[in-house]
Amino acid sequence: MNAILECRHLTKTFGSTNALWDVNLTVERGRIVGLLGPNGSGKSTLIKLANELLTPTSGEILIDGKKPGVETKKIVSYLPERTYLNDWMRVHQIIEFFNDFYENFNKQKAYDMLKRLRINPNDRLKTMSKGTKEKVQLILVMSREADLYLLDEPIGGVDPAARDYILDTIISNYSEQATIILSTHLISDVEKILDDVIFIKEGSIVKSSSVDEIRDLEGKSVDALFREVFKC
Amino acid sequence: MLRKLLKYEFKATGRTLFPLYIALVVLAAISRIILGTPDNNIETPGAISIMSYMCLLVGTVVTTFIVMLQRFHKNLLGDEGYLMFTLPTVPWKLITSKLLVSLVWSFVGAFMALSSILILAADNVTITALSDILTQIVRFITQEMDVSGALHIVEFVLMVLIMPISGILLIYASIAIGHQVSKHKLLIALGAFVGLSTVSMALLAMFTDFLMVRISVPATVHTALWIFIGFHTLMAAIYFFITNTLLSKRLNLE
Repeated sequence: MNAILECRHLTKTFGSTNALWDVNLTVERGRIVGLLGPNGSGKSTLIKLANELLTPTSGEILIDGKKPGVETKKIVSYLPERTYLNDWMRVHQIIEFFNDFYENFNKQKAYDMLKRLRINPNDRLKTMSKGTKEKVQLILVMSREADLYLLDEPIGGVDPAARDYILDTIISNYSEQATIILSTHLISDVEKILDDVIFIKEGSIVKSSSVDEIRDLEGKSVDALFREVFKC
Repeated sequence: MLRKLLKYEFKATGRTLFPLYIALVVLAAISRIILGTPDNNIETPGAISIMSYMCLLVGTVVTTFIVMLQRFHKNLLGDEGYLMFTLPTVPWKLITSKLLVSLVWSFVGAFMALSSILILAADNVTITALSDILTQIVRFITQEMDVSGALHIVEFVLMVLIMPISGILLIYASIAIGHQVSKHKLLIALGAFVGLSTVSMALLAMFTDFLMVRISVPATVHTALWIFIGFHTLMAAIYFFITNTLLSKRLNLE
């Protein structure tokens, strides 16, 4: 079986700046991976490349052995860092939209999560607060039974109380074979759910290992190691 | 996938445009009733009604155009693009769905505007004149049509289709070009629009010159029309290619 995500000499430049430089990376199935790095380190660029929202300058990125395209989009569930919901639909209409376009969308799961978060399916997206919109978006993304979830800053915009709920939603809504890659700079909040971490700095991978390894070999928490690696 | 995209594109645009078109016809009918027959003097309620109708007519045309721009610019190149471009589909289907829906609304809009004008202003004279024209057309098609006449009808239909198609694709290509820069997107898009239109005019002139003068194609109305149709089909294909390439290979959402 192919690795769920593989980068080979992946490089992306914007004009004269290198957003990603010669990235080599393999992510296996069934892992929860933290893509960690300060702002502007290339986290979003990597995730966008995996979604074909950007095209590599050189090198390649493979999902389940395939270049990003229609087939990979069927198995990747992506949460961007910003809200992509339009302002004219109601919640139940956007659920229909997802149900129409994604074969692996589980409608029942979406309605269950809405209920638990006390979001009315008849509410208009337009009238919702930014935080509620983010929750709806996360529900849509996690209601897909995908092979790879790419979550870009999933907890950035919500309060600490909601963070725990969201992390709980994330880990309780994916199958054993699926992989979750989540990018964040709020490390202490996510540390407890991660299996692996990837540290990214100025477009290059500086460390990629399991959380257990870090704890055993370095005798530190991920948060402490992060502070050390990215010391200003 | 294209069918699903079309369905949502109609929903997204129809919720604005459909009520407008209905309102236009209704307001035309109301104005007509208030005014009575067109021979009567126009009084205050009638004047207000006809003024609102005129505003609505202009507003409808402008809105149809803006919705067309917005659906491409906002839905594909704004934040909503993050959703649209990660659907399991390819960019050309996204472009085609928007193009077809814009085309349909242009025709529906034009039809509704004309109908509303007829509702408002038709009197015996215009109705007689219109029915005369219609009878003549029907008689022409059923009895007098020869090859040249049939060809004219085909030419007319193709012209009516290809003109708006190449126009809409020109706008899409311009917006996609404007999106390539990080600042002054609108300015670059406008520049691209002017540039592409100018180049296409120059090309048409050269193309016509080449066919007529160099290889002496006979100068008939038919050849002129076919040159025009062929040229605009070519331009539409080029604009589509530009838009599709930029959205596939050089997409860079904010």
